[in-house]
Amino acid sequence: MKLSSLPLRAIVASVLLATAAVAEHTSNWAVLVCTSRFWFNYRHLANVLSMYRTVKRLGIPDSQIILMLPDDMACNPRNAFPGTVYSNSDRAVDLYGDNIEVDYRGYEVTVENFIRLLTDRVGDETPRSKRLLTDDRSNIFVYMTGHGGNEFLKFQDAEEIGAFDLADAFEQMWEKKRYHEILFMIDTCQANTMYSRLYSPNIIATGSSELDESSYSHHADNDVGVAVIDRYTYYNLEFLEAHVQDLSSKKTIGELFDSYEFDKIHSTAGVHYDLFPGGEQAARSRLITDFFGNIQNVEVDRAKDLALEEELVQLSKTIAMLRKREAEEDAAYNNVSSIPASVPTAPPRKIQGAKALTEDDWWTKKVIGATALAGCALLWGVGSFLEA
Amino acid sequence: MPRLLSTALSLRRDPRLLRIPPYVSAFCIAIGVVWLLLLPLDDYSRRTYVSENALLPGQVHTYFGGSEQHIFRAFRHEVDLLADKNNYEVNDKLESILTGFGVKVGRQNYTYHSAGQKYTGENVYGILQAPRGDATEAIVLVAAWKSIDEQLNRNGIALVLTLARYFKRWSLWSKDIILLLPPDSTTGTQAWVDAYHDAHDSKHVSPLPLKSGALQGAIAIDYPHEQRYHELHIIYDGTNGQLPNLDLINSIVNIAGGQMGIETTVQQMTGHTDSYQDRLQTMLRGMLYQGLGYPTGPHSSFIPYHVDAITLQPTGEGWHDEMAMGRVVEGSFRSLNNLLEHLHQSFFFYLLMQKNRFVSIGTYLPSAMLLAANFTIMAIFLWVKSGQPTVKDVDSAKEKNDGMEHKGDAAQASWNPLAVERNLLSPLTFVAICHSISAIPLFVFNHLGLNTLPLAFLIFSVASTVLPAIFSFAAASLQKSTLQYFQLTKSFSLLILGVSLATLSTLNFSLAFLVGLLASPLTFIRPTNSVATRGIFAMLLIITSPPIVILTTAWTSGVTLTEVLKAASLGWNVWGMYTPIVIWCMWWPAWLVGMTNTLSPISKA
Amino acid sequence: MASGESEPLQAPSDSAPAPTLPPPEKRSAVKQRSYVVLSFWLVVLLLGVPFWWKTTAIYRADLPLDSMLKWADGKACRPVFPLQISIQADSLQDQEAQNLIRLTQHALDDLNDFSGHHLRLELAPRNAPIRRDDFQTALTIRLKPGTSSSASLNQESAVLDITYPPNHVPSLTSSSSPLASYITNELRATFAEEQSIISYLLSTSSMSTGVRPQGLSAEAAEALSKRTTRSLRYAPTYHLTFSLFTDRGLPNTWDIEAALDEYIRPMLEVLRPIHNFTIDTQVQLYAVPGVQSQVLNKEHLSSFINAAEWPLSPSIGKAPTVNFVIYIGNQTVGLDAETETSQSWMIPQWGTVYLLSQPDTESHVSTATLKQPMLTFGGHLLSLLGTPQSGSLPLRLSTLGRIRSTDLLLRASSTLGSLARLSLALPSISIPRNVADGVSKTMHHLELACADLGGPEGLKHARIAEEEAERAFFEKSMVGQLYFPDEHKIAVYLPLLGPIFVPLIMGLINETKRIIKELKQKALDAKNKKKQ
Repeated sequence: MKLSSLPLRAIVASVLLATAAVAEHTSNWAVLVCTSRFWFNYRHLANVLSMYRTVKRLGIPDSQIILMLPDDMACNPRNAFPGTVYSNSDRAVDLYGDNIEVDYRGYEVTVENFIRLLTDRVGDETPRSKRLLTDDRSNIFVYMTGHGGNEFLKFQDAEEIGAFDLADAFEQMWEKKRYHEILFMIDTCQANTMYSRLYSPNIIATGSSELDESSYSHHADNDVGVAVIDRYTYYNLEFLEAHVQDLSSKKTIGELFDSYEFDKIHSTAGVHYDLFPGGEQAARSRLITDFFGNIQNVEVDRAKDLALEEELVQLSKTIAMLRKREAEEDAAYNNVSSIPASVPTAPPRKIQGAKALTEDDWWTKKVIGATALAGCALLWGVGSFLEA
Repeated sequence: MPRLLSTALSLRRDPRLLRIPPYVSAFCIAIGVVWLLLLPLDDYSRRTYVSENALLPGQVHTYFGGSEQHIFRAFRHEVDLLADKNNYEVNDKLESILTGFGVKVGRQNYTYHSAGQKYTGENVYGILQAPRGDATEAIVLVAAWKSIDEQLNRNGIALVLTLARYFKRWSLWSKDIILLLPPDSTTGTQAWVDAYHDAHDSKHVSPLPLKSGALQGAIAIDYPHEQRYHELHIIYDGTNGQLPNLDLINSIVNIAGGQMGIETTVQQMTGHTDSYQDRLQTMLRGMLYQGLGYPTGPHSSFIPYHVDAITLQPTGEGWHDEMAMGRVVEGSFRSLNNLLEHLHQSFFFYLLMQKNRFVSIGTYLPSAMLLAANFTIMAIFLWVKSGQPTVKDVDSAKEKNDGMEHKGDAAQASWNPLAVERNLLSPLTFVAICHSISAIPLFVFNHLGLNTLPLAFLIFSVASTVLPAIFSFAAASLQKSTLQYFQLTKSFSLLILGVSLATLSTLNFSLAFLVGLLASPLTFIRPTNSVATRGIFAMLLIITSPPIVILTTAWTSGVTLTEVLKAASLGWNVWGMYTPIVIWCMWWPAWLVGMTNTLSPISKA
Repeated sequence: MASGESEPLQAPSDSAPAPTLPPPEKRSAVKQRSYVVLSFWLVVLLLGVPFWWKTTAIYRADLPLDSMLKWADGKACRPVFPLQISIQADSLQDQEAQNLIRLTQHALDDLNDFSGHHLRLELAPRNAPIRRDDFQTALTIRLKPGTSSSASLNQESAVLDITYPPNHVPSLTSSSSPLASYITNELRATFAEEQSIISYLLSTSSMSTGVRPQGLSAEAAEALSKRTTRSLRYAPTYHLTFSLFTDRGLPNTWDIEAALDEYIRPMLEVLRPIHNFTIDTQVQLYAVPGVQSQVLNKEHLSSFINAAEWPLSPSIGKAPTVNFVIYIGNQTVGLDAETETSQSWMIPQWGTVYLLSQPDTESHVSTATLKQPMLTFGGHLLSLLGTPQSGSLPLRLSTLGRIRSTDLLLRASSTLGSLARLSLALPSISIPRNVADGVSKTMHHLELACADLGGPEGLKHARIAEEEAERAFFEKSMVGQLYFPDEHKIAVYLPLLGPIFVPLIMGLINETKRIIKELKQKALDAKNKKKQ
């Protein structure tokens, strides 16, 4: 039973949709996931890293980008250019660079961690850089690449995530109002099947190939010795580099999708507008920078003298002083130290005492064991005696 | 419906059913042979393809060339200077050269005794450690001082030395590279590989002072002649018919043919026109080498340790030079470098018909299996028949059953489920004796000195022809050999032969096929009382007896008997070949039993 | 005998071919066999099935789904904000004062269209001192006789001074009074912004039943939505970062400690009842901004911050960060020709940037230079926290407290609703014990908060409720791959249980066949007996 089948949803959704469609987003996040490791999957890491560079160039800070890389191509002994990752055989841009923050690396990239990241069900010890701290005014760009199939995506040769699980994760995000709009892009074989099960609103989804179609790599670098980028991502990047050079670009998502051609990509790239309010029209008219860049609608201060603020500061000082005096009076009067009642006391947290590694009751255990054995032996003896 | 069932069930007991199995056996043999002949057709064979995604053959630029040519010439000159020095002096020089590159060098002594001859030598090898790798895996580059044809492998050694210097300058190796320079192509690599895996006989082979990680692949270069070559001959047969992973061959073919433009051939088939005859010939040659189980080059010693290895031998006259060879090796090493685990995606059991066509085990196995099955069918048939009552028994039973209505001919009556007791002791004893004396030729031929070997073999051939007569005479005098006795002996020996050939066909398809084909007359030979038939059968059997077959093969292929026997002994003592076991312990006892049956008269019970 | 049974082969030669049969089974052996089959089945059914059921069941604690959904729909709590207004009218007679109050209250109630937010007037005892932090009273009105009607809001405390001409005092019998209407208007004006913000909050939440949204003018609506866009999400602690960026090597020191003490810390003191703050400062040299032009227009301002290279927003601790950036440079902000702007701009939910120009050789930024930026930052901090713009500082702060209480109440309720819907929609997700505990704690605190929305207790309980609700919803163990196709289940159970069940089922079938046969035989025997 999906959440969408409950009747309450309709009311909530309509109210929220009304506000959401009107309200604009205030922050941009990006979740960039590569799911394959090993040297011959160099191109998948290059895909993700080039997307990372694109969103960084368009202004999204590292604290709002979650980058998941399961393998380290730059430091692989087979890399003829150590410390670098290239997505083009002209080797013009080193994607690894000197300013990269990988949030999930190596074997931390698992299906469980990915779902935890999306639904924010993480332990208390998880640092903020590994959490998706979005709210209902955040636009999220989710990009996934790797080896996939019919409604699944393979994670690191060991496990898979299914389209249903992804859809449920997005729905939980929607329930908890953790996103404003999502652009979901996926570049694998049979990619379009992966978003076929999504059912939460405000998602635009695009994939690189249809069911029973493979996605192809674009070209190989003959000194690195592997294919360095996939076709779908390559043509996406070409469009973004040519037409969206900075945040002032007004190019729309529709124009990006129109630039996909079968002759170039060699597979049928698909787009899914149904979940977006306003359908195809509204989705296509969204700006690319709404998802890829970090637009912040600033409020410029009017020129004014800062007398008001100065007064504010004086007032604050006065108020603080007066308060303190009154508090002292009260304390003297009541002989009780007063705490401003509105500060809540934190619920007392029980810190668990460290558990000793060695058991002190070693002897007790031995005695119990010995007693048990003796009891069994006695039983057996009695039994055989009675039988005989 | 029930009537149909009961008729079908009663058909089970129809005596006419018992006439079918011999025809089934013949049919199996025919189908098995025809199956093999059909394999080279396009419908049944496949084009080769690279299965392992990690290999990525032919996708790297190779930079070996240019000034490396001068270095190569210098090394070749050095090798020429060492041409008539002995093994130790050569190794001293090679060690100094290798140490000059910064490669760690180790040396290993070994001594093998075989057929009264002593094979001693010293291997020298170097380990080029991967600068950024973790030394848990290694790939081997082999160039023997003496090539497979016993010539000085001058270009091969020089190329390996140049490549060593060249590889040392690259930092992208994920596995260590081991450079092995054994003194000859036959015994040196075996000693080295055995010692590397701690499986050596420490009395004869000394352990290795230096080791690296697990071996992932090996390429041997056999390049004795100096002129430019036309194509690259890939030798891939290993000991006991084991083959390296097909992906290794596929990637070399891809790199050489695709990237460098060098033709490749297998099984010495130059000028392969991709016609049916050429394919068949390639396949049969491959089967012959596989069946003999004889190691064909320095790479063969690696294969039993599950290390994929091949030998590259430039042949012909053309315009490719040693730099192209070096580039091929560089390209294949870059591909091997990409591997994360042993090659396992492609086939280990295959028959190559051409560098681009192969059949895998699923397609070719039925032919050997059918040949083995025919023996088993015959064995079971004979067992059933031996339990059947003779006409005399049926008549005596008829006399006792007055009330029952029987028609005259036993064949038309419903089968009387009377079974005759089988005397198992004598057949079993005889078959056991035959199998146990097979240890004698096995021991003798593997341990005699070279001088006495041919003579011993000839004496043995004569003895083996005479022995069945002796056995039959002895058997006739000791007991009454009834038809049942002969049926049972034949049944047991064919059973053993059939089952062991079936098992063997999964390990060494060609050997099982050849032995099965040569032993197929055994199925049809029957003891008779007519002397003429007996004579014909005996002649047939002698022609297909193991010693005669060996002599014939040696004579037709132009190799002296001494060499054949020497090679067999070397195989047993050095390489762990098990072909002698198959011939002497599986085939020859069955032949003995068959021959004895032919020569023996049947006595009535 | 039955046709399927085979006849054994005879031992050879001598005896006649009459086959012998094995002896028939003893009655006790048959019975034993049926007991064996029965006992196996009993073990499977009575021990095995319950074990399997219990060990493969997912633990789902009981959640009070109905009440959770009620909270989410706003049915469990009608948010009311009773605000006490105490009126000090020392110069009036008691009776007159009471009358005045009654009339004013009537007027207020008539005009109030937001029933949740209502003001309760009461008369303060005579000559009582005005307590600064009296948590019961939201506002005190001091009535003083004067020449005309005027009202002024005391800046230091929550007091409204109203002077009135004596003739405006209502008589004891009149039903209206200009003074009463004046006081009403003043009160409404004072609390207008708060009312509009709270009603906007409630109307845009799911608790919209029972609250009629006010008719908002377009301007007011826009201002309100701007406020929600700008203000940060509530967190009990905020991390303030003050950064100095310059694209050269100078200046490299600044008097930030003194400036903070002077201008910012008092503000933070005042805000202490509602939020805690931690402060961090940094200086970054050779920092290139995101845009290079000299005159920055609106679009340039959005990308001025070079988020790729400037170290902002550290991940220390759990508090969200508010960034205050001073950039040393001589760029100017130019929008359109008419509007004159200052050198700073505010980025919603993020912080503020201030452009400061200094002579090139200066290597130190003094406190005096920092005064302007710090004042701007202080003012912006209040807006970023969502404080309303109008009114005196104490009033603004108490309004902030009430707005935050509402906000937290709404958030906690909607989280409860989400949790309820989630547990219904995903039946295979496990719900541990502590989630149920968290939910009950949340509801308890929500009830307490709802009971006292106007006061500081409300804020405290709302905070705890929201924290507990978030913790319950984001429970770490409620995650897992929940979708398993049926083929997987078969693939796991069949090899495991198949071999065990085949002999059991075969045994059962054979036993059943035998019993049926016996019954038939008995019936036949009985019929035969009857015939005879």
